[in-house]
Amino acid sequence: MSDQPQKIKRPNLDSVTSINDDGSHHILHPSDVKGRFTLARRVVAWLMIAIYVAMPWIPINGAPALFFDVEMRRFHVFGLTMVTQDMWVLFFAISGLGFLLFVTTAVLGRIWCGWACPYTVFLDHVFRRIERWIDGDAPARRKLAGAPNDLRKISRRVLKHGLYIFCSGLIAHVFLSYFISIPRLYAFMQQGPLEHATSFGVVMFLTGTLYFCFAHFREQFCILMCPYGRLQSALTDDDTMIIGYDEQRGEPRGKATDPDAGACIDCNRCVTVCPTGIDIRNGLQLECIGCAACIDACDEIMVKLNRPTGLVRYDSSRGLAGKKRRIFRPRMLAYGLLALLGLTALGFTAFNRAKPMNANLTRMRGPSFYLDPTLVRNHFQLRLFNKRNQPMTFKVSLENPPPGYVLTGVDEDLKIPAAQELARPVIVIVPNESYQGPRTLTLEVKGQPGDSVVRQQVEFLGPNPRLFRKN
Amino acid sequence: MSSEPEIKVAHYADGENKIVVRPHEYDGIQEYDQTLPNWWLFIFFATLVFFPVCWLGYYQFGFMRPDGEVIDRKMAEIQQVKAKELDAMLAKLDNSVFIEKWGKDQQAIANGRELYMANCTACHGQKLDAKMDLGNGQVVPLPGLSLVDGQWQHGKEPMDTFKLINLGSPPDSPGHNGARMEAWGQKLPPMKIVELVSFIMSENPKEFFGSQN
Repeated sequence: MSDQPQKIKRPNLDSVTSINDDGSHHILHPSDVKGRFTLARRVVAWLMIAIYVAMPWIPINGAPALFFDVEMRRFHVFGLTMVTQDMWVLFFAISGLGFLLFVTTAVLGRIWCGWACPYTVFLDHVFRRIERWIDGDAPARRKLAGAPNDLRKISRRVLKHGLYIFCSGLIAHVFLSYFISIPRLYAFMQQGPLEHATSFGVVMFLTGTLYFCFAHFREQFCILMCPYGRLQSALTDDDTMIIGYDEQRGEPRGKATDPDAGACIDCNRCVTVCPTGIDIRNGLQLECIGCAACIDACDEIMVKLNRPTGLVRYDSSRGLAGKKRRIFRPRMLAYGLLALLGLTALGFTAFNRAKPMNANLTRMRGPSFYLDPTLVRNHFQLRLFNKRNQPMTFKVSLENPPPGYVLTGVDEDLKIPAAQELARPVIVIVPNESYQGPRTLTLEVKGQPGDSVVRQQVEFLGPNPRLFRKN
Repeated sequence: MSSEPEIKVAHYADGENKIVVRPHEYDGIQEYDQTLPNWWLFIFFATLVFFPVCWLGYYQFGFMRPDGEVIDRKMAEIQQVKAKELDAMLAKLDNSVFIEKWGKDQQAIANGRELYMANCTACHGQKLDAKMDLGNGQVVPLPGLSLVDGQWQHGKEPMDTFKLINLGSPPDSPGHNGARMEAWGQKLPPMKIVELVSFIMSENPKEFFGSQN
């Protein structure tokens, strides 16, 4: 370590600024920036943090708004309770939301990365703020990084990293409360760490990971690890909104007093504010997380120079080249349709299939059917889930059974306490004279209160009726 | 296609010009030869350490166990506990204990009724007669044996019933109309089987308790 303030590297297109020649991490110290996007991003970020923290506290239908109860295997999503058997809905949720993100990316570029991604939100609006508060602005931070390890530096480092760990711990605890709920989290915290070693371990691991990421790793994650970031080049095109530099207006760079020069005075403000260490004037680069800091930085300079703002701005590559931008493109249709498919299926299942109860009829192990002198019968296991937070009564029957087909084992109404399940053997029998061959039957389960009905198709199996009659 | 790939030079901030392009070229695409980030290399070396640890742990010294083995071992433990529980129960049980104690224990009978209604009615019927009244004058026979007809194909003593429920239809029995009962001891603990026997006894008072009941 030298006692000199750290040098500012000039970004280039051939290498990653934040990785040194020898593979070590070049720590970036982005300068302060003020402006409309910075302010708007801060507002959005605090809204995001508020939502993140509030979700486990808001009760809907007797459970937190988002509560993934892994222990009881019940998943509460905005008042809708799902059990492991509903897990297939997740496919539509993930594919629908995933393709929605694709559409958003195709139109608005990395709007997610810059404005809504939890990593950016926590890093830029919590951890970088703490750093700014304790260590000062970029030149001060650079100077401190090169300063000898005296009492002043060490005490600041201890304070800063202490706050980092504290915030990481808070985020980790909120995260855990999504899985065990706030009251249980509070109860766990009253007890020794070894009583709930797994939960404690998860929080410790998460705190450590968050601390490592937000204190040290920072932009490395976005540049090299984030899969969404790496997908960008496949999702965007020349009509996608990006943050770009208006080369036509800006070049050639020169002094503000030079009448032959373009609008860019090469002040390097856009470079020094960049949290990933790129020069936006080199064009669209994979490191860019779309944080808009360079827009605010450049606008500020342009205002000072009495020049129109927007030399660096949100625009498409085509728009920056002075051409007209298209919104509707084939990829929009493709991503849009896939998103619509997933979300429609999700909505449909959420409203029609995700009932307050689950009924499952599965064939028992052993022979698929039994032949008695007088009967053909199939054995099933009936499994009922009451997903509600109050007791329910269930009536189980065959819906419009063909003549002779009888369901036995569930003659009485079944009472199931709140959030409990019940399994019982049931048998479908049919007298030989009524037997017409294998067929599909419909099981009907009516739940009270709520008048909810769940139907399940079930195959009644038996011998070939022609051969059967001969015997 | 140019025969001589153009040697590219990286413009580093420190002003040194270094050759950073690999000599090969495919479809006009060349590759930079940048140093990997150290943390990336660290992960690579960590996997190198991971391998011998796993190899020694799982295959050489056995201080780590595959999940399947762990589960099998736990299952065996559970079976052992169950077997012990059953042995302890059997040591306390005989026909007279059933007649003197359990068959008259109202709590056991009530619990047994509940268990019966949940698990047994599908085959033995709600009234234990292995019949189902469809309500329209039609009565359908169910797969199980009647438990109130005074016929005890597998032995009439309470202990016979206990063993029958615990182990299911005996291996040499052809079953009733081909229907064989499963071994409920796999699903129910011994005490619950005792309660079921109590309930069945209470439904046949004359046979088990004579005329005084």
